[in-house]
Amino acid sequence: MTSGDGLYAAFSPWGFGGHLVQPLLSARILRASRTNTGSIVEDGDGAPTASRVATGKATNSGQACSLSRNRSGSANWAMKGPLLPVSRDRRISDFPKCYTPEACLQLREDFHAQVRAACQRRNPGTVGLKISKVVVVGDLCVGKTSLINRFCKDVFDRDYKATIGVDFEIERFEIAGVPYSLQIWDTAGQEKFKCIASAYYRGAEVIITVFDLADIQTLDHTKQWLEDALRENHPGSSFVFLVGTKKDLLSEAESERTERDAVRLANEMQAEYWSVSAKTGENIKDFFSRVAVLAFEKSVLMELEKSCSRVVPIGTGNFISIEENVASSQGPRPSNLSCC
Amino acid sequence: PRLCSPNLQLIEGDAQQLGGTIAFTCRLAENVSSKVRQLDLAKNRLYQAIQRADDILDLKFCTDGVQAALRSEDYEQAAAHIHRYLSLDKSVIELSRQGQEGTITDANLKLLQEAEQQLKRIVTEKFDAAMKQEDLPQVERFFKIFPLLGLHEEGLSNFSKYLCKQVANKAEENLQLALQTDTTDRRAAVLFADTLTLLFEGIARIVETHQPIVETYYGPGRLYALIKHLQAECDQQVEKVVEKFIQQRDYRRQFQHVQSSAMRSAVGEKIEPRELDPILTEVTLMNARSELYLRFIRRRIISDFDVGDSMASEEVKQEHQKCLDKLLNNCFLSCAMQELIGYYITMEEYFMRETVNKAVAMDTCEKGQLTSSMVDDVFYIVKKCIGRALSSSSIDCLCAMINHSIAELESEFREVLGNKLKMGFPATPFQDFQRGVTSAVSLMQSSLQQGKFDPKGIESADEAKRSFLVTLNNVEACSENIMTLKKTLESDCSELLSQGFGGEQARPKLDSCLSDMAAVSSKFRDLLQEGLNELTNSAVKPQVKPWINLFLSVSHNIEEEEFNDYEANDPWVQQFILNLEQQMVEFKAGLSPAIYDSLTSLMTNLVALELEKVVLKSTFSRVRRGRKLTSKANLQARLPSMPVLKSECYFFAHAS
Repeated sequence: MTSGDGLYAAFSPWGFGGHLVQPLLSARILRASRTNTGSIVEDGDGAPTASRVATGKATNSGQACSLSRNRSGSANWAMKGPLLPVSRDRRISDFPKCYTPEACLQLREDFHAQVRAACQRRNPGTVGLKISKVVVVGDLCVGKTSLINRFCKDVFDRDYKATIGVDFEIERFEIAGVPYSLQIWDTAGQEKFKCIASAYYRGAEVIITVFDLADIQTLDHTKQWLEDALRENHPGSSFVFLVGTKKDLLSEAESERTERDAVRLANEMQAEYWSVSAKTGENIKDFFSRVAVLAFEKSVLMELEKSCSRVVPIGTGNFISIEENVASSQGPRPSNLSCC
Repeated sequence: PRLCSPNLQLIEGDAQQLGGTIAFTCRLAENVSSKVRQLDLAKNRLYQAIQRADDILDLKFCTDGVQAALRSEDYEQAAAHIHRYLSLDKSVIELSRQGQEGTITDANLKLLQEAEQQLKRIVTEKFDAAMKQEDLPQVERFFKIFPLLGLHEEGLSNFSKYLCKQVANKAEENLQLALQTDTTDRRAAVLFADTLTLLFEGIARIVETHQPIVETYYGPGRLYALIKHLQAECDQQVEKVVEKFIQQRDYRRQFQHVQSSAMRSAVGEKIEPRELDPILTEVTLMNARSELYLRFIRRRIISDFDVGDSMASEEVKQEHQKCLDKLLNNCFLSCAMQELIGYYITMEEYFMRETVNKAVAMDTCEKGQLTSSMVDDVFYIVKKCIGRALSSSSIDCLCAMINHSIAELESEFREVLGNKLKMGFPATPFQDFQRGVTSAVSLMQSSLQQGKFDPKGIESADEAKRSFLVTLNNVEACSENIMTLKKTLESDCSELLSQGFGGEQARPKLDSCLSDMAAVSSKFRDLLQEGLNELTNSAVKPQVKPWINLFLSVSHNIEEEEFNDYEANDPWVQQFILNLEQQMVEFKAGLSPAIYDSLTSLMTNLVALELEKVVLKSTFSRVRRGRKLTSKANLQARLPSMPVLKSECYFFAHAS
């Protein structure tokens, strides 16, 4: 069968609307692949490919999705995947230190006592599988993607590749023995992609604003980035981090100078400051551990608070039981007794 | 033993003879095998010699053949000879040059190299000429010759030049045609999406038609190079179409208009959301087509690489994968579509918010309906917007719209409902009658003092009551609808994902956004709970309390005959049940069954609690226990008419 004949011929009398057209076109493309000379291993009707992809995804996302937030308790369809053990370097048992005490969110050097206790109890109700959303924002080309790739995949790609839309990684941790995940949303820095990226700011537990240590302008812009990101979130609900990247490009003196400015700004933004290098990997792991632990502590504390002041649902209130009351009310009213 | 000795001697002799035979055979065998080895070696050498002789002959033959073929313009033949020459072992050529006839071979080689250059030149020239004349058979003819001369790259790039020209011509034509289309045309609203589709289909058809030739003559794994060239042309054509689209549809200005309208303090005329409808549809359609096309290209290249790289190392495969990703993600088409979708999202969000606001403003509640029009309308809008985002086939766009919808529902719409609930449930006239307030004037005063609602007499109180109950129903419906929406989206999305749209992270991305929906649904549940508590506190409690207090006014210090009388005709409980039922009738009519159940359960708890207090305060005669029991039994017997299991359980547990 000749593949060209009419397969892609313009079919102008289409029905209206994308729903009608799309299956038609895709069916055509699939059919086209079947009529191919046969030497290409594309699956005949497309279905096997699809199922292979789907199953591949399922196992892949299985671990990720079983961690996804499930506040309503409804079963997630991808929850079946086996939960792989957390790799050794994602187990955090000691409280990570801050980068500089001049601009940090938490001076404590150990876990909050309540959190520590809750973790030791391992009470699945209060300390279950948790996930926090992290959003990374900042100017284009400051190294947001590199920062994440260094941490999540331990790679560094010299070539600049603009992020389109949003990238997404799930990184699993085990903090004080409790499984915990960070859901890292890597947004596009280019102005023209901002519309799509900004749709992902909401519900962020952590906002990481990134700037290029070698480009002071990008530091000035972090304020605007943060403002945009905070607008989509409840005030005070997110931790803010200010991260200077490409530390390897600067001399000691230079980076000290920039850091002074950055620390000042971080204090204005109520953010914690970090200097890192994705190229050398300097501080990357410490930084993300810090992010994970702070977010973890906060969510555990919030959970604990919620379980204390939980709204009593209908019909499960504790009523005084009659026996107790009779016993206690008998005391002050002996006259009643005597009449019987 | 003597008998044996001669035999033994015999055996010894035989054994020696056998040994000798064996040694001889062994020697013989070794001799033979060494001969065979020598023969084998000789045979191999012979073969090599023949091969070399063949090669040299071939070389000679090629030299002659090429000349002849070139003279007769049989370029295929000439190319075949050159190909033969190029595939000869270089060491053979070296060796033959060292031989006695070295000079002749040298001359031959020189001739061959000249012929090769000549052929290359001729083929390129002829190809160019054919391309100019758009003579497809000739183009294909010379295209097939390139790989024989080892010019794979040149061949592909020349051929794709030809194909690109075809694409460009057709695209130009289509765009002109599109621009001349009448505005009343049926497809006028999606004109640019159609133009893009034609372009993509054209390229897909080209790939479809020419892939077999490329594969046959250039080998597998070469499709990438061809498509890379085609994609560059595609990008150029897309740029033109998108430019025209932006210009004709005034896309950027519309976007800016939306942006300024979206500001809360916007002055001047706001853009009418309905005007955006067609353009939003067209953009999603354009993107859907692009995604479909890119997916097609990706699949084709991947399967071609799979064949070509079946023996390749992991690194090469990864390198190829990287090239492919780079080609498809960084092409102009992807970037342009991403940009359009970025604008689209802002506009779609505006469309959704404004339309939702409109639905809220136009809210009406038909008599006899539990929920008002607003809930249906709002969810219709949200579903439409998300559905449109879904139809773009872009996972990022879909997730972004889901996020925006959740935000809209969670903050603004929930606030609307929450504010309505905050107005509270007004005190009933019935309750006021009980307090001895009869005139409308004092009703107004009491309402004013409570400061809860604008008093316009009993009618507006009724209105406010109805509005409160409807809002409760609305909140519940919202919570349900969100979960339904989530389920629908889950199945729609898994369809999209199973078709292979979106990157490898598409599913977790979606899961994350969808799980947020469940959280919002439970927020609506919380709101419902608050509303119910408010209702119990403001409407049920103040009425139930005095009724129960009446229990105190009935004497329980009774004698036997009074007890019997009470049993037949209870002075308190019957009235109480009547009152309760009367009170609940109103709610039963106005609330959805589920909420009504919750309310009854709340009410029962309240009654039980209050009754307990009162019972403990009362003085009973010795028949009090029985009396109390009958009261409760009576209550219990009547309460099941209000469908609450909880109440039964409670009374059973405490009747002892």
